[in-house]
Amino acid sequence: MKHRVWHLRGGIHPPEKKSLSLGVSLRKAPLPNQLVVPLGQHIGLPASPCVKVGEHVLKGQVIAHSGKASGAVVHAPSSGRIREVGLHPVIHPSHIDQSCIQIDCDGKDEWIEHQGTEDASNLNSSEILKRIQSAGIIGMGGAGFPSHIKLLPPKNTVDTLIINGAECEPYITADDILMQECAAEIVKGIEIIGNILQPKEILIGIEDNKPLAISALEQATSESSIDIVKIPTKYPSGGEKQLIKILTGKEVPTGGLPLHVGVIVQNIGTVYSIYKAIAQGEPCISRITTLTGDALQSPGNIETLIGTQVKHLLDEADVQRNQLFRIVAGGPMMGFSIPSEDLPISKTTNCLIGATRAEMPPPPPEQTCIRCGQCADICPVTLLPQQLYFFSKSQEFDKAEQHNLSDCIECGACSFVCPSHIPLVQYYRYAKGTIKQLRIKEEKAEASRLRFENRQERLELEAAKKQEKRNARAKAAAEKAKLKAVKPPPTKTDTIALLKTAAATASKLAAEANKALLQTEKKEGHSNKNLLEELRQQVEVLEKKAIDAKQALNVASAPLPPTNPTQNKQSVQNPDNPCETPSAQPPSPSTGHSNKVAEALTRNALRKAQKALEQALAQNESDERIAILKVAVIEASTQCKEQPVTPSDKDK
Amino acid sequence: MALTNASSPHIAGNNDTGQMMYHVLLATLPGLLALTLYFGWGSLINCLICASIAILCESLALSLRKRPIRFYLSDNSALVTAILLGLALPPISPWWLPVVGTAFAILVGKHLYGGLGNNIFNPAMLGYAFLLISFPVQMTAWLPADGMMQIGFIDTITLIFNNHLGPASVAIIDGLSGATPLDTLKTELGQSKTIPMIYSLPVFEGSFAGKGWEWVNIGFLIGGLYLVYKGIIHWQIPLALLLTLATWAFLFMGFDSDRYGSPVFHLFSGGTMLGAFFIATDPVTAATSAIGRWIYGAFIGLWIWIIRSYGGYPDAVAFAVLLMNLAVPTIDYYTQPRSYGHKEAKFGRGKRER
Repeated sequence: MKHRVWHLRGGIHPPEKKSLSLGVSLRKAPLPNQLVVPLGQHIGLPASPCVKVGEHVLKGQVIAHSGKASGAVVHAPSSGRIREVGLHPVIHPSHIDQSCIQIDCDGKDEWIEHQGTEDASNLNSSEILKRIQSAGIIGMGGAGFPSHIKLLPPKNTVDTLIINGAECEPYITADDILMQECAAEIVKGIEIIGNILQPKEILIGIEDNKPLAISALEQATSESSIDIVKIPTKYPSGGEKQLIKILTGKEVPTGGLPLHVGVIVQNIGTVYSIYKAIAQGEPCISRITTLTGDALQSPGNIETLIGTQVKHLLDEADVQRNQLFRIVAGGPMMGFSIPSEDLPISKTTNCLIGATRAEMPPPPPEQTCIRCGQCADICPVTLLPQQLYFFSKSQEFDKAEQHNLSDCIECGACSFVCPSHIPLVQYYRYAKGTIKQLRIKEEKAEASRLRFENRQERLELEAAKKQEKRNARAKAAAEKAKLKAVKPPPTKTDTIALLKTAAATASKLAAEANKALLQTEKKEGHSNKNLLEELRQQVEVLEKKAIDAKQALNVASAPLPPTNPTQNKQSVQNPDNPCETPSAQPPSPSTGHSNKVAEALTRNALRKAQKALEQALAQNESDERIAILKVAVIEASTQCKEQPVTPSDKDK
Repeated sequence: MALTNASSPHIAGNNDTGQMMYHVLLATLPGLLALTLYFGWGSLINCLICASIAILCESLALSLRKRPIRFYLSDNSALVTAILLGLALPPISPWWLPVVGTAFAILVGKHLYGGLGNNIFNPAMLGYAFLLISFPVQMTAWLPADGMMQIGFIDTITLIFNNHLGPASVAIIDGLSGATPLDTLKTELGQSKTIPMIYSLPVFEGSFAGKGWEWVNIGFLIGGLYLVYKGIIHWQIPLALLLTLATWAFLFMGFDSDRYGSPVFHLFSGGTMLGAFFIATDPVTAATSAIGRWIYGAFIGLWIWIIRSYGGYPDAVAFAVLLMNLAVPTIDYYTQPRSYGHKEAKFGRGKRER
């Protein structure tokens, strides 16, 4: 039965250039003297090395463990001595150095003991997954997602297993050659994966420009239920989401995974690695890489150890260095140029293009966008690239997001067709990066806002609780006071305490006034008699008050303290005079009203005193006058603090 | 050789803005040929004047804006503006008419907005509307379609460059010039004649949409189809425009065939085809998405019909296009396509609500 092929919107037909590397059969790269094995080849945190410098390792020996279950193990691709563990430039768009393990190969290529199971049907799926994990297999199509994670979906969620043999990028033929030469192994690998996932159907999507691969696989699958689907050659039909649409008609929801539509996609290279890991027990230490480009005299596909440096492979393909203008790792549409030949091959490096200047000239200068819309016509995601370009350029990131910038797969088709030679994808990468950073910032701000609000809430809650307690206590006290009002007098200790404070304050005030007097005397000598006299009088008044207070205290301490509300009322001094000290008599707790009046009056006095002082300061009056006023203010404020000793305020 | 570092993609197609504009220029040739055959050398001379003034103004504006002149001239966009304006002007217009119109189109219509890609209005139509409003007499003086032999090449040049000299040449022009079929229709309908009566006038003699004009329109149609075939313009806009125009004309002809022109008349007279394939499809000022292009084209067609039937000016392409240029941001706002993986299309500006 011929499987239906759905239409992929948009797409382009760049020159294929595949024949460059298809003329010769797969070869094997000679063993290099040195290997540089990157530790961060997969998505996620890099693996942590578990070997020491100088240690001898065997081929296939684990040299770096993954910290987490989601990581991927790294193995020694050949036997030799560990020369260095440290940073080394790697194939990565950022050109940032990564930790790598450098191995001096001893040339023996001596394997560690390993064993495979040719008939995998005896193994249960968890055992297979364990072996895949310990073989360090990651998605070899480019993303580098650890396979043991991808192959462990929730039960009965996979309807379709898709094997991606589309290889839609120009130049690359690594999967093509693998399908041609190792079709049987690939089919066995697919069956292993099928055993784990138990999908309803297994499809191999291959572009129709690979007739040899298709016939080889058709032969190998003649006795199985695997469907080989020929799809029209069009870039980017090999993109995961695009291939799913072509083969199933389903669209992976934005921000979702293929699993959300019941699909899992595996790359041909990954399938082959899984086969090798299970059937032969060999970990992922080599891959097939296409060596191509006009600067290479003998292009082709080569099986190379992970960690082999680019220069070694280019030499193997007879590179003409005087022609070499650009080296691209990956395809010409989505790969990235690499700055040096020292970089090592990683598990995801499917192609190396040694391009001449004529082949990949420097981009022409960018012209203005005329909104011709050709980019929108070919966008496989149905975006409006020209709008995204304007929004990215003008940093209107919210509009860019509204136009689904995040759905862009950066396939580069828009840049390819742009008549104004605008590097559109670069603009989108810039916008995506900036949006990511802004979002991180925003999240941080949001987190601190939440923190602040939580704290505020907590404080408010605490305050409310306190207030509640206070109210309860006030209520209790009021009731108590009521009882007291019925049965005076108030408890002796209470009154005594109050009186004690009052007495102390009064004497403190007196002392302060005295001090001010002495200071003025010292400063002024006897030149300003009137002033000194005034001060003296005040001191006298204050001292008298202090004595009064002490007396009151003494009286209170005596058997019956006859505190009288009316007396208390009188004790409030004339508030108009800020210099006047109010009575040191403690207010009676029994009369709330008079207390309030007293409180208000003292506050008023304080305010007036402060005002007078401010005026004096403003008008540059004499130091003495200011000193007097200061004393007055201090007095009044002490009075104020002292005043509210009504039971309800006691807790303050 | 030092290795080059560049961002992907590392290869590019052979699309080029200058080439696209060049193809647009090429596609105007059949229409220009028809104009020349029926109305004399005037249109050709107009185009040449417009082109030289456009290059001059473009260079001036670019140098004032401190841009590399040769680089930006190579996109040929100024030439396209100039030629489209030149084709729309009456063939024996005085020399200053194309000069003023082109200068206005390039300097005001294009560079004041920030140059190519940033202009809101179609520069050529802005120039045309500017001239039509400012110099209505000169702008409506067309020649009768008596073939290119009625005035010789030299005579045409003399007319164009000397008609300001004295009343003599004005008299010549008055003697020669006449109204276009659309203009005639409008005037005669105003004098309460019916369409069948008007069709018997010499300007319609032996034709289905005005003598000479139908061939001019067919010329532009051929050029337009070439552009669609080449993928330089999107087919949605012209199709929507022509369909709408024809539909409305058809409906109203059925309603009152004495007062409303037939679909064929509307499609093949005046600037319909030039407008549909060359003016409305200007990508800079047109709607962005496929649905948007349908709406944009359809409304231009509607406006053309409304202005032709009820407006004060005989032809309506310029005003219809300019009106819809204004509506493009709104159309774009509502016509974002549904992207892969989304349940439905989004619309709006995407300002975050806070």
